[in-house]
Amino acid sequence: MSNDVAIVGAGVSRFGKRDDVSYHELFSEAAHEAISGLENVSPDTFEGLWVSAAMPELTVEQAHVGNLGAQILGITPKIVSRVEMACSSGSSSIRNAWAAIKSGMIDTAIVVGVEKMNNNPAMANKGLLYVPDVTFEGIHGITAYSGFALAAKQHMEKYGTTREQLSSVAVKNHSNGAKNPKAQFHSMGEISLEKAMNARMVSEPLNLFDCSPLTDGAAAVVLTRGNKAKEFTDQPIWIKGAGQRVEPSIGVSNMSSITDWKAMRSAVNDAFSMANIKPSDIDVAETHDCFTIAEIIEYEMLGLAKKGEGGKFIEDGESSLSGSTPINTSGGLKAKGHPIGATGVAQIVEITEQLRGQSGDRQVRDAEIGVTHNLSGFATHHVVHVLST
Amino acid sequence: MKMNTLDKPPYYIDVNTKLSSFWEGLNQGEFRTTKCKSCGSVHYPPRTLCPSCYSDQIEWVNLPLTGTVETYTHVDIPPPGFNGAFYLVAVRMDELDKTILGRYTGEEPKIGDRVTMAFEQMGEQAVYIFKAL
Ligand SMILES: [Zn+2]
Repeated sequence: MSNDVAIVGAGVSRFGKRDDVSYHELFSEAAHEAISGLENVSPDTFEGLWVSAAMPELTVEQAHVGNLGAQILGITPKIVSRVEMACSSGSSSIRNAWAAIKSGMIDTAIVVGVEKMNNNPAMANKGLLYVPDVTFEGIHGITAYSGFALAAKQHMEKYGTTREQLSSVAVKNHSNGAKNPKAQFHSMGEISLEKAMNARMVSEPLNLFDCSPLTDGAAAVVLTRGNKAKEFTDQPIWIKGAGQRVEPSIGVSNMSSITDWKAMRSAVNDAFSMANIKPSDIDVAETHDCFTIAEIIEYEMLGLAKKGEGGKFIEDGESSLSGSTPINTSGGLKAKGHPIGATGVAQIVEITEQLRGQSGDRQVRDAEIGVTHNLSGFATHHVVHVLST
Repeated sequence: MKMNTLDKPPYYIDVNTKLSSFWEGLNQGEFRTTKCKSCGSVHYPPRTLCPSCYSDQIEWVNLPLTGTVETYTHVDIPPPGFNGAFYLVAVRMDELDKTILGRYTGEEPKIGDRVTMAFEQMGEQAVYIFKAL
């Protein structure tokens, strides 16, 4: 028990275009929500701090954000770092905090993910363009969306995945986002399949509604050693399994396959083995739907669908709120939004709220086991967590 | 589709380094990469540290310019620095067990098409693109 790691606090800011808050204020909004419900908290509580931030130098002209976080929280942690692993910075931060608690170095940590992208969309897009190997792949015009378009094209050709199936992921996630007051596209409400299918093409076959947006947002999680959890809350959520794997490839050149992600399979296997669960045990999951095709491949890599049958999984409604395994109940990256550094932390917040029964209109009934999956690059790096009540 | 020549590379790149032979090769219409003198691994991208045996002893090899299209996309919204839409292809290269990315000039390709490298200037530096074989 004393070596187990519990999530005791979880908070997320409203996502979207947040001209009403500064970077510091956005950070504070999520941190406040994560901390405010806890008993027995003081600045001395937090022995570890990880700030997940992908591109603050580019979008808000601020570096050294680990130290900035210590100032905002008024703390003097024994271990502190800023984590940058592009779109999976958030889950990587959670993993660092988990490892530090496991090691015995610290008892309690706070992880805050934050990204403010909309005050400078040109620089935010530039930040995304720096994610692949710029010298050997970026120079040929690759972008995040065209990288996943390559995967979509291959998946459609190889397995018969359809335009309707891709768009169905967007329709589902917008429907969930409509039930999440903090989602970027909350007020857009539900979208029709026709609207999703006929949006402006971005990189064929992916159109605008296959892509996640630029988002301002923050999320925060407080983690502690198992035997201390009850000091903070009556509703601890447990990290039962964790896995992280990366391909020896920052782009496609040394990747095993564009549509079958070996690193994700391994990370899933590590996390599920540690938690002693199988795919059918998952009650709810947040997976990395940066593009609709990604969610379809993730069904397969999670073992929810056979290889090549991810399209059928969405078509059959299995991942909808009323389906066998609801996926991206928050609205996902697609509709909740994708503030790069905050995304992986926000996934943990959503699952924590689901397992605590706090998800309102999008609550999955009797959810006891939840999974998060966060990726970066062209799906070359993956982090998976298994949470339970 | 006609490819628009760029007046400079879209990103900062170091070309006058230990790996300059790669960039010189492109300027001469050749596709070169590094091979480890110690274990014989052929690398891509070219490297100064062998990721199989960690030797720093490398030699250069010329590879065939041909390969097979694994997948492709039509990039309707080009990134900054590129003029207009283009096809992007992922090509499994002959005699190199790796997939590389490049722009493609010509009518819409198909998965499985045989293609070859062509070369296009980005200012002073040539880069490879692909065309139908
Ligand atoms: Zn070697």
